[in-house]
Parts: sequence; C-alpha cells; structure tokens
Amino acid sequence: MSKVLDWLDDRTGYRGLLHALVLLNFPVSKAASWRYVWGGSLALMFGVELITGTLLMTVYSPSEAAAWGSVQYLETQTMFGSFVRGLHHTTSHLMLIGMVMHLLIVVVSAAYRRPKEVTYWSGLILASLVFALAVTGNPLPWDQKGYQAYQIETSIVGTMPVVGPTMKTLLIGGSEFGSLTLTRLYTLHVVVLPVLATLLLVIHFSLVRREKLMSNCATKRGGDLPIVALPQASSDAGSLPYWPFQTSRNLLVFFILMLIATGVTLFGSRLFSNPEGIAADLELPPNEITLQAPADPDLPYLARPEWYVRPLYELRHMVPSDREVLVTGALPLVIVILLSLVPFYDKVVGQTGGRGLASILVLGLIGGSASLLWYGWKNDHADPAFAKAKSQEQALASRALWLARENGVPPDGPVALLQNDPRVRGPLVFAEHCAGCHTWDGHDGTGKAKRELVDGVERPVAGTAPDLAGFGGQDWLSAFLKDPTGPKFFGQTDQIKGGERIKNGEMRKWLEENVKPNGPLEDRHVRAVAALIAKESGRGDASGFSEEELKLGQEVFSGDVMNAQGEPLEFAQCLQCHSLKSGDPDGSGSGGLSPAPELDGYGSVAWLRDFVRNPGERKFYGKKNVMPAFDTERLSDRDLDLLLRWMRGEWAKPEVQKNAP
Amino acid sequence: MQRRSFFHWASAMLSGAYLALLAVPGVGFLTEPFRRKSKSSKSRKLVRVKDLEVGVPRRVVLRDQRTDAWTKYAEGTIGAVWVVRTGESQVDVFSVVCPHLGCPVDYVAEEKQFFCPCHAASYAANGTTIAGPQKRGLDRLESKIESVGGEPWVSIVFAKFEPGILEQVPLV
Repeated sequence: MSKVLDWLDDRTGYRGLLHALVLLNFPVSKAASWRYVWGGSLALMFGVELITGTLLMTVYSPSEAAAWGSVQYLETQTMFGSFVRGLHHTTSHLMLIGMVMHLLIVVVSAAYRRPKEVTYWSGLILASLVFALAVTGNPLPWDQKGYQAYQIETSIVGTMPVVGPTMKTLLIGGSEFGSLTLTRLYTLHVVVLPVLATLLLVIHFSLVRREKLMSNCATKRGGDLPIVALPQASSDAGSLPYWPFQTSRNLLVFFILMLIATGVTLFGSRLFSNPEGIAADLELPPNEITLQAPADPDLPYLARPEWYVRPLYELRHMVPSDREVLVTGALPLVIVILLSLVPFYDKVVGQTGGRGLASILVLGLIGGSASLLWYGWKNDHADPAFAKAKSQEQALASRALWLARENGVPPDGPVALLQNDPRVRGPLVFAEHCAGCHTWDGHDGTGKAKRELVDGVERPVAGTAPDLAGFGGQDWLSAFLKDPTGPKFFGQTDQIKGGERIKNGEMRKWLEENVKPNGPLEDRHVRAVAALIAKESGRGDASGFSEEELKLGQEVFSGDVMNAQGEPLEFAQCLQCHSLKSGDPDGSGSGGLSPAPELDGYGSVAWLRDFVRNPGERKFYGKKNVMPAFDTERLSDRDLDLLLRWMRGEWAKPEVQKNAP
Repeated sequence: MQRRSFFHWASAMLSGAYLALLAVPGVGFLTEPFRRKSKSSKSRKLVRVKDLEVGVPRRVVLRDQRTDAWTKYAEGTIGAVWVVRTGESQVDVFSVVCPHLGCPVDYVAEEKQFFCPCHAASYAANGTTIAGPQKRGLDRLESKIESVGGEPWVSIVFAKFEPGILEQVPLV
C-alpha cells in the first residue's frame, strides 16, 4: 500500500498539496496553541456551510412562487431537512462571532505586523465576504422576515451617493422586488460569494503557511518552500508540529461550537424568542415555527434587522434624517478603512502605541456594538406594542405553515394561503370596513383596541354599533336580550344620526316590560329563546341544544308559557314584531305591529350577506336603519365571504388544538 | 517587427478579445433592468366619494393583473393608498409606502397621524412630515374626482416612488 502511495506521490506530489491545503506542514510554538484555534475552526465551519448549503440547494427553488414553499417542504418533508437548514443558519451566526474573536486575537497579539500585512488584509476581505453571505442568505426563504429586511437593505443601498440607485437596480433586477430579485440574490449567495470566499481562503491559508515556514524553518527568503516530512519530530523543544497538536485543538473547539449550533437548531426557537409574545392558540408548537409567513407587503410586519446589523440600525435612529448616510454609508466605510490601516499604526505611533491603538479600536467596536445591541433589545422588550406585533407575526407564521402542511402551497405562490384564509383576512376586512362603528371583543378585529384621548389619558371607547364577537350565538343573543342598550350593544348608537330610534326602540321597551324584575320572564326563558334563534345561524357552536330548551324557546317566541302553577304568563310575544318559522309554526304573527328584522336564518351566511349588502331593506331595519349599505363596489364578494366566515368562526383548524405551554 | 514582439502583441490583443467576449455580453446581460419600458399611466377608479368621511383616511387596496419578468399573475393586490377626504369634493391620495425606506405606513386615529413602525416616521393627515428620519413627506398621487355612472369617484394614476431620497421620483 505504502509503495502505491509513494508512487502516486512521486507522480503527483499529492502529499505536499494535502499538507499545504490543510496547513499541516509547519511547526507551531507549544504555548500558543489555544490562541490559534479560531482560524482553523472558522475554516471547518466554512466547510459545514458549503456542504449544508449544497444540500439545501437540492430542494430550494429561487422564485417568488416557489421559494417559501420549497423551504417549508424541506423543513417538514425532507429527512434531516430542518436540521440541515438550522445548522446552516446557526453556523453562519457562529462564524460571524468567530471572526470577531479571530480579529481580536490577531490584533491583540499584533499578528498583523510585517510580514503578515497581506495575510491580515485577506482576512478582512474574507470577513466581509462571510458578512455578505449572511446578508444575502437571510432573504432567500422569501418569508416576511427576510423579505422586509432585504427591502430595507436594498433601499439603503439606493440612498448611497452617486452609485446608489444603479447598484440597487442591479441588485434587485429592476425597480421593484420580483422573480429576478431572487435569482440574482441566489446567484450571489450560492456562486459568486462562495467562490470568492474559497479563493480568498486559499490565499489566506497559503500566506499563513508561507509565513510560518519562513519564520519557523529558517528557510532562506526567496527560496523554494521545503516539503516537510510528517509527522515531524521537532528538534526544537519549544515547538510542535501543527498536525496533530494544533489540529486536535481546532477540532475540539469546532465541535464545541457545533454542539452549540446543534443545540440551538434542535431545541432553540430560531424565530420568536420573546416568551411574553407567545400566542396561546397556535396551530403549531413554537419550535416548529421555523419560517415566517410568506412575504406579503399587505400584512403587518415590524421589521428588525439581524443582530449583526442592529448596532447600525440603532445608531441610525440617533442621527437626524439628513445625516443618515453618515451612519449607513460613511461609518461602515470609515470602520473598514481604520481596520485596514491597522498594520501602519506602528509606523505612526510606535510599536506599543500601534498595538494599543489597534486593540482599543477593535475592543471599542465590539463594546460599542454590544451596547447598541443591548440598548435596542432592551427598548424592544420594554415595549408592549413590540411583543404584540411579534405575537401576531408568530400567529401568522404558524397559520401559514399549518395551512401549507394541510393543503400544500398553491402554484400561484404561498401568498394566497393567508389571503384566502378567513382567520387572517377576516379581521383585516373587519378593521377596514366595520371597525369604524363596530368592535370585536372591544378591539378592531386585529387586536388594536379602539381608544381615544380624554384629558391626555388614553382610554378604551365602546363602538357606536354592537360588538360582534360571537354574533348570532346563544350567549351573544341572550346578553343582547337582557341588555340591548348596554355598551356592547346599542349603548352608543344614539351618537349616530337617527340611532336614537334604535337605542330607545321596541327591544328596550320589551325588555323593560316583560323580563324580570318588571315582567314575568326569567333568565331561562331568555336563554331558551336565544337558543332558538341561535339555531338559525347554523354556527358550529349553536347546535346541540336540548329539545326541551328549544321547545321552551318556541313557547316564549309565540307566547304560550305557563308558570309552575300551570297558569299562562302575560307578556308581549316576539312574533308580534319578528317573524321566525321555527318559533311560530302556524304563522299567526305575520305582519307584525312594527317592522323588525326577520329572524329566519338569523346569523347564517345568507342572512348576513343580505344584511351587509342592504341593512335598510324592509326585512331588516327598514326605515330605522342607520348602518351604511356595503355593495360590491365597496366590499367585494370575496372579502365579504372571508369576513362572514371569520365572524362565524368557520376556518380550517387542527383536529385537536395544540396548547402551547 | 520582430517575431517575439509580434507574439507579445498578438497575445495581448487576443487576451483583450477574450475579455471582451465575456465582458460585453456579461454587462449587457446584467443591465437588462435599465432598459425596461416604462409602465402605463392609466387612470384607476378607487372609491366613491360618498363612502369617505371628511378627515378620516381610508386605506384602499388596488387590485390588478401584474407582470413580473416572465410571469403574468392573475388579479391580485398591486399596492395600496391612503385616501383622505379634505372637503366636499377634495381628496388627498397618498402612497402607503413610507418614503423613508419603504415600509407600509399606518394611520393612528387617536393622534390623527400617519405612522411608520419601522423607523418611527410620522406624518400629519395632509402628508407632511411631523417627525422621524424621512427626507420627504408622504408621496402624493395624482388624483381627481370623476363621475362614474352618475356618482363621483376618486380616481388616481397609481405609481410607486423611490424611497430614501429627497425628491419624489417614480419607479420605472
């Protein structure tokens, strides 16, 4: 065997190549071993990125319609898909941290000094390439987080003086985001930047190796590099060969970092880390929400950059708007120039001073960035609006991922998943069209409470029209019958022109005259008639009433209720004003004394659709009506349908609702 | 000319040709976005004037077919605008896209302000800047009131604008 290998080496020189490639053939000083682990670990992590990245490429599809779906597929269907993507993601973050460590150690130990200036610069370029890889990888899933971040990043590019607009157009392949944005981004991320980085890595390594051989092996300058036979027992007691002494340390540190990456991948929540923002009724457990909702500029999203650009983001908020380019353009440029000039500091301020200055620069950058980061996080976490926004985004993400799992992603793209979902679209339609007057559980459907400023204090206000959460159900109806002028119903309706007639109308009079304490009807009578009417809606939560209760409801409706002694109760029956076939089978009350809404099908989709389209129709409020009619010009059939299905709680849900802890 | 210098000259020329062979189509290939035709500026009807309350901004979503590179999409959302009725027959129409860096702008009814949550830009109901990092006020869209079927409608010429700069420059 060894003969064959010797032959091969003779013809190819593969040993030399191998040793050169993996930096094995030079001795290192024994004491310094642990300080030099970062370079080797970073190279190993770069290898992890190349391999996991190549694996991801076999599933990922860079198009607006397919990107999100392909990532969702690899997260859920591909074996180890979630792990591979998680590792790729977490390792990229660890590489950024590792590079800062590497830079710090290089600067503190003055490893940028002659003859290592070019090695130092190649390292700086490598660091920028890894940074660019992180920035270009982030938007690829085309989810809300990546999309919105890239939107802002490319806008910043566009604000750069002179070349900005051209660069932006080149980057996004047009004036607006589209399919070409993704193909360009993808090309940058998987070919251009990795090839450049690999090239730089080879240069960086060969420079390091050359320098080690020059200084440790006492080779003549300019002479050919020696091929050192390995493993080499060093003659110098203070020196040990790289292999295996440094290599094993590098590997050990690398594996500790991988352990962290694996831990974060398997057990950490990669997207939503603020526990107070965890919504309770998610379709998926939080650790399965590894992707945000598909990119949709129509959905609310609170964009925050990744931690590695967050310091600049915070700083940008502290300068006046006309100086913004100082932070987004000039400051990064100045930092890069200051770091690049580090090898020349010695010339200006002397060896000790130069090293001190360089160390102060790097430590200052780390310290400054860390405090800005901490400041930003502290502010966000103290802000209830932030927690609320994050919890809403989490709900949308969970919803989209669950729908994609159940129904697959439509060929037009994943945006349709949420745009055609009553649970997501319904509240938005409600907020846009209804929340001017109505409320939903006290808010506008999306969770924003209606508030007004009274003497400088914000307080919640009731709507001028009924709160519609639970509309048509037994609880809503009986609450209404017991208190039609309460703040949740017609209490504020008199603020609308003509609303007085509704607030102080027949229902109020009926309640005051016929229900206890002034009338004979008891709570159970009210609930029974509410059940009878609720059954009309066909709502999922309005079924399973007992025969007995429905019968009692019918008796209340048509007026044949006996008390415990078997005597008939005296009260005004509902059928005097309302018509309802199930409450009045013989039709004795038709006509009515005063026009009041028909109750056949009350709260059903058909009834609600007719009502919203024209509430002033005779079979609804007639001349008393104060609600505007919503015709198709104002509210499309599609939106109305999504609104009604949401109001009735009719959206696809998991069989067993998983409760998040 | 000597044989050697001829070959020097020849390889320099041929290398140049080699580079040009790759660079010219390469640059042309990548700069295709600069040569796109500008979009049509058709007028779109938005909302009936009678559906707007004076002083209460309404967000109106625009739906249309949209072409992105090779894909012609079925009708979908192409953008949204804020419509503010300022008088009997006067309206202001603003793009919902924040002229700072392009996030969508909300309206905060309690404060009668438009607010962008990304970088805390705020605007008055007439679109002018109140506070924040933006360099210009909300982008105003060309609007007029037209009679459609006997009823007055707000119609606009929809456009999007370059964010982040002082002037309101429409995107091509």
